[in-house]
Amino acid sequence: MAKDNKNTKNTQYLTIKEEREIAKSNRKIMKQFERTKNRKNVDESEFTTQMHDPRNVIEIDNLHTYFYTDVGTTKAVNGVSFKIPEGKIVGVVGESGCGKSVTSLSVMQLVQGPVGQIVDGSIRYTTSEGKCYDIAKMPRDEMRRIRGKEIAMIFQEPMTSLNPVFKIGEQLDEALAIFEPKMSKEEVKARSIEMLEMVGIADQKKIYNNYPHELSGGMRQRVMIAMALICNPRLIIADEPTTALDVTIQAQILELLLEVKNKINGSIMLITHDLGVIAGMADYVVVMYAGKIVEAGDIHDIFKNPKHPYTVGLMRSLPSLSHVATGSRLYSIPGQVPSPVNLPDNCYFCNRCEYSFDICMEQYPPDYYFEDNHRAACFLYDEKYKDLDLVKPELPRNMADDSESKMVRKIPQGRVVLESETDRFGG
Amino acid sequence: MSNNQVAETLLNNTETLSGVEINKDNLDSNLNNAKDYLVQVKNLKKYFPAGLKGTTRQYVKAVDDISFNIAKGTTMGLVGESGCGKTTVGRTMLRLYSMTSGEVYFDGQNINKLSRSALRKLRPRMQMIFQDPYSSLSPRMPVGEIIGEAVREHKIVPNAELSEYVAKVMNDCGLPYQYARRYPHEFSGGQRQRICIARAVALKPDFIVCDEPVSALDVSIQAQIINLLQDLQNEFGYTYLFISHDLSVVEYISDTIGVMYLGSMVEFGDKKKIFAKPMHPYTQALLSAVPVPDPDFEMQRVILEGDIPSPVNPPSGCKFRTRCQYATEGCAKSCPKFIEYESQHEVACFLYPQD
Amino acid sequence: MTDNNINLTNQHDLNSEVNNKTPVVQGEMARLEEEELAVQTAKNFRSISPARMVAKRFFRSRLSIVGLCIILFVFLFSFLGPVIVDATWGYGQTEVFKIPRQSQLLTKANFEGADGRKYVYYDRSISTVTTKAPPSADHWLGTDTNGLDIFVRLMYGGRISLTISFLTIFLEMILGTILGGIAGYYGGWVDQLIMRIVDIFACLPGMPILLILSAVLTSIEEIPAEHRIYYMMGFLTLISWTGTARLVRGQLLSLREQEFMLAAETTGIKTSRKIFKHLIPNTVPQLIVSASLGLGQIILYESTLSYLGIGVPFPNAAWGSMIALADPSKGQEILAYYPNMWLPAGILIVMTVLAFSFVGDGLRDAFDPRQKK
Repeated sequence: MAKDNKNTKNTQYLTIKEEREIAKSNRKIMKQFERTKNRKNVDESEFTTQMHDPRNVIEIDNLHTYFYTDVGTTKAVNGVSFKIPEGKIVGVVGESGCGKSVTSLSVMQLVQGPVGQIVDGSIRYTTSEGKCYDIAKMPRDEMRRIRGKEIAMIFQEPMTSLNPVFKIGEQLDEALAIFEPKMSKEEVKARSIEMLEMVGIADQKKIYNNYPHELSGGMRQRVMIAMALICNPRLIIADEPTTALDVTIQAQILELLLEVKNKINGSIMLITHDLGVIAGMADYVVVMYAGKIVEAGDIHDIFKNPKHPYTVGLMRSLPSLSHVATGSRLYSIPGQVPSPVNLPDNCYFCNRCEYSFDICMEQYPPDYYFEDNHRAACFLYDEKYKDLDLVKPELPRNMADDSESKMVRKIPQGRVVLESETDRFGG
Repeated sequence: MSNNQVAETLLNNTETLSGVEINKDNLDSNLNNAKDYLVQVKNLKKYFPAGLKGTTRQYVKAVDDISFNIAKGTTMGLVGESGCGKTTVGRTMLRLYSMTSGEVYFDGQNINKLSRSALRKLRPRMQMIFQDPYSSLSPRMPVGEIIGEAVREHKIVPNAELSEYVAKVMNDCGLPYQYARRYPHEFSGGQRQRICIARAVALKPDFIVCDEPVSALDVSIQAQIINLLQDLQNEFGYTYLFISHDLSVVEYISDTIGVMYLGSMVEFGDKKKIFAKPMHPYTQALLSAVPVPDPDFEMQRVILEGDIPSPVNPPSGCKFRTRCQYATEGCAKSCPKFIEYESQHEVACFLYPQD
Repeated sequence: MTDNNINLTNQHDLNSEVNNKTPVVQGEMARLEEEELAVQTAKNFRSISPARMVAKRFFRSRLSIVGLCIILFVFLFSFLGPVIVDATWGYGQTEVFKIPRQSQLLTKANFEGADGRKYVYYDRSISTVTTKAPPSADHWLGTDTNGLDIFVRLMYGGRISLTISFLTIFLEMILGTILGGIAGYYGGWVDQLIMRIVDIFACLPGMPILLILSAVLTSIEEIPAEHRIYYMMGFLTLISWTGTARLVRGQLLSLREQEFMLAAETTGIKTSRKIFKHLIPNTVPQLIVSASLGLGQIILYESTLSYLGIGVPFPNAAWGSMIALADPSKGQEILAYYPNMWLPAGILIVMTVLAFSFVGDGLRDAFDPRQKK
C-alpha cells in the first residue's frame, strides 16, 4: 500500500529539484521579456508592419502566448493564425482552457505578466489613422493608444468589470475622457447618455446616476457594451458576453451586439463555448483545442461540413431535436481535455479521437485546406494516406442537411389552439 | 418555533388570496393516483425574510405556491431563469430548507411532519447533485471517504464489504477505484461531478435532485455526465428532478417539464406537449431564445423586454404580465388559475378560458 | 504506474462503449498504443502537491524564513541550552556566583551644615562586591545583582516563556474552537448566547484583573509560588479564547453555506461528524495562523507579568523579571551601567515576538487561496 502510494506521488507531483529548475529558467525568460516590453521611446519602425490583406481589421499570425508557471511552461496559445475581415463577426469557440480567452487578451496586450508572455508571432492591426502596427511587438506605453480606443473589450462578468463605488455615468465619462481630453464635460456627458441610448437603455439619465449594484445583470452588460463602444472602436472583442446571463437576456444582448456592430461598422471577435450563440452570430468560425486551431472556416463550412473529428464530436454531443425524437444516446467525446503543460509532439486530440491512426501519435498535423478558407489540422485529409481508406468523421444526416428534412422547431406565438378545444369549449 | 408560527400566519393570509378551489381540485386528483407518484409537492411555499419595510417584514417569495408530482422512474425537468426559485424548490423538497407552507410527500410520507431522526433515516433515499463540482466536495477528505462516509453511517452495506461496495459504485460512475485515496482537488470538473454522482448513488436512493449538474461543465464533458445519469436511471430506476436553465438538455433528459417564472409554475406537462405546443407566452419566449447550433436556422425570437421583477415585490395578478406582450388589464387584477387543458398539460394564463 | 494503467482501462471502456455505436476501422490499431501514450502524457504533466504549494509560498517570503530561523534558534537556546550547561559546568539558574571585584562607589549627597551653608558630601570609598560581575569567559553575560549567571538565566527564562505560551495558546484554541464551532454551526439563539459571552469576556480588562488575581493568589497559602504563573495563564486563556471563537464562528458561518455542507446534510450523517469531519478541518489553516500570531502576544503578557513581579517568582528566571532589574524606580544605576543585565532579555523578547509575527504573516499568505496563481 505504501509503495503504491509512493508511486502515485511520483507520477503526480514534481520533485523539489525539478521545481527549482523550472523556477530558475522561468525567472530568466520572464526577465528578458519584461525588459523588452517596458522600454520607453522605442522607434516606431520597430513595430510597424504591413497588412497582408488591407480588407482585414486584424491579422493574427502564428501567435504563441506562454505562461511560465511553477509546474512548467503552459502553452496557452500555441501557433494561432486567423484574421478578422472588416465588418465581420469571427467566432472563436472551444472548451475551457483551450486558449480562446488568452488569444483575445494577447490582442489587447492584457496577458498577465510577468508569468504570461507573447513569445512569438505577430498581431497586425491598422489603426484608424492608417498606420499598421504589430501589437505583439509594441511596447507597453504605445499600446495605451490602441487599447480601449481602437480595440474594445466586453467581459464575461459585468459585475466585476464595473467599479462598484463609482456611478455608471462617471465610469462612462472617464472612459471617454482618457481618449478625448479636449472634449468639454458637457460634451462628454452628452456622449455618454447617447451611448446608453444606443445600447437600448430607456431611462438613460437615471441610469447615468446609478451605481452598478442597482442594475440587473442584463443592464450591466448593456452598460459594458456602451463603455466599449464609447470611443468608436474598430474591433470589439466580446469574451463570453452572455455566459453569465439568462437565455431571454442573452437573446436581448446578442441582438444588441448585432445591431451596434452595424451602427458603428466595426468587427467583432466573439469568444464563446456555446455553439448555438456562434451559429446565430458569426460569419467565420475558429475552433480551438489545447492552444491550437483545429479547424477554421466559414460558418456554413463548420456547421454543415465539419472536417476535424473534434469539431464533429462537439456538434454531435449537443442534445438535438433528433436525439429527443429518437431517444438515442448522446455522443460523448471520451476522456478529458489534456493539461496544456508540456504537451507532447503528437496530435493533442489523438487520445480522445476514435479516428486516430499511426501518424497521429507521432507528429502534430499541419493544416489541410479545403474550399475557400476552410482548413483543418488532421491527418485524415492528407493525400499520402489516401490509400488507407480512412473513415472520416461525419455529422448525422439531419444535422448536415440543408434540405427540408431537417427538424426545425416552430414555436407558436400567443394563444395556442388545442385539438381538444373544439369539443371542450365549443370552438 | 417562531418559524412555524410565521409559516402558519402566512398560510392563513395567502390562502384567501390565491385560489383555494383549484388546489383542492388538484389534491383530489392527486389522491386518486397517489400510488404512481414517488414525489408529490402540494402548494409548496418558501419565503425568505428580506429585511423590513416600515414596520412590516418583507419576504422574498422564492417559491410561491407550487404543486407537481413526479412518477416513479421518470425525470421531471424544472426550467426557468436564474432567480426564479427552481433551486429553492429542489432544496425545500428535500427539507434542506424549512418550508414556509405546503406539503411534500415522498413515497407517501409527509416529509415536513417527520422528526429529525426519522428524516435522517429517510435522507439516503433522497439525494442531490449540485451545480458546482468544486464547492460541493469537502476539500479535505479523500474521495473514497466522501463516497463511503454516509454508506457506513446508514449501514447500507455491512462494514466488511464497504470498500468493495465503494469500488463498485465508483466503477459504475466511471471512476477507477485507485482514485479513492486521492483528494478532490486532483480531479477535473467532469471527474468531480462523477464523484458527486457516486456519493449520491452509493446510498441507493430512489429520488435524486440534479441541480444544474452540467451547467459548470464543458460541452464534451456535459454529454458524458448526461449519459451517465441516463445509464444509471436505466439500470437502477432512479427518479430524477432535473433542474436546469439549459432547455435543450432538459428536453433531452426529461419526461415531464415544469416551467417556472418568479417563484410560480406557469406551465407543466408532458415534455413532448410542452415543446410542441408551448401555451404560456413565457414558455414560448424561453423556447425561442434558445440558440440553435445551426446557421441556417432563422431565429424567430420573441425578445422579452426588460428584466425579471424583484421577487420581494412581484407584480400583482399574473407575475409575467410586466414582460408579456399579450397582457391585458385583467392580468393585473387576479392570478390566472393553473388548469389542465389537455391531459398532462397545465397552464396558468388568461389567454385560455379560466373555467 | 498501476494507477495509470487502471485509469486507462477505464478510458478503454469508455471508448469501446462509444465505438459500439460507430464502428471505426483504424481506431483499433491506435488504441493498442493508447496505454503507453497516456502514460506518457501523465509523465509530461505533473503538478505540485498542495502541502508543497503552501511551503513554497511560505518560503517565498524572506521575512518568514528569518522568523522561522529565530524561532528555531530560541527553541534550541532555551531547551537544549540548559541541558548543555548542566552537563558541562553543572549548574542551573539558581547557582550564586560570588566573584569578588574592587568597586569604587561614588556617592554624593547635598546637605545643609549647621552654619547654614550648603555642603556636598562625597564618598569615594573602595569596596569589594561579589555580584554584578561583568561579562567574562566563565559567565558570558556576567552575573546579576544576586550573583546569578545571566546567560544561563536567559535560557531558563526562554524555557518558561515558550512553555507557558504554547500551553496557553493550545488551551485557548481548544476552548475557542469548541465554543466558536458550536456557535457557528447551530446559529440562532445558541450563537447569540455564545457570542454575548464572548463579548463580555472580550471587554474584561486583562491586566488589572491579573493584578488583582495575583494578590488573591498570594493570599492563598495552599498555592505554591511557582504555580501561580500557571493559574494566571489559565485565567489569560479564559479571557483570550474569544478571538479564536470569533474566528472559528466566522469561518463556519461561511463554510456552512458551501455546497459540500448541503451535500453532507442530504446524506444524513450525524451532526458531530459534520462539525468535526467536514467543518473543523477546513478551519485548521486559519487556526494555525491565528495561533502563531497569538504566541507572541502571550509571551509579551508573560513578560509583563514577570516584570511587575507577579509572574514567575524569584529565584526562577523569566525574561520579564530580568528586565525588571533595570527598574528605574530602584535607581538608574543598572539601567545606565549594566546593560548586560537587561538588554539581552529585552532583545530576546522583541526577537521572539517579531519572529512569531513574521511566521504568522507568512503562513497566512501561504494558506490564503487568493495568493494562488
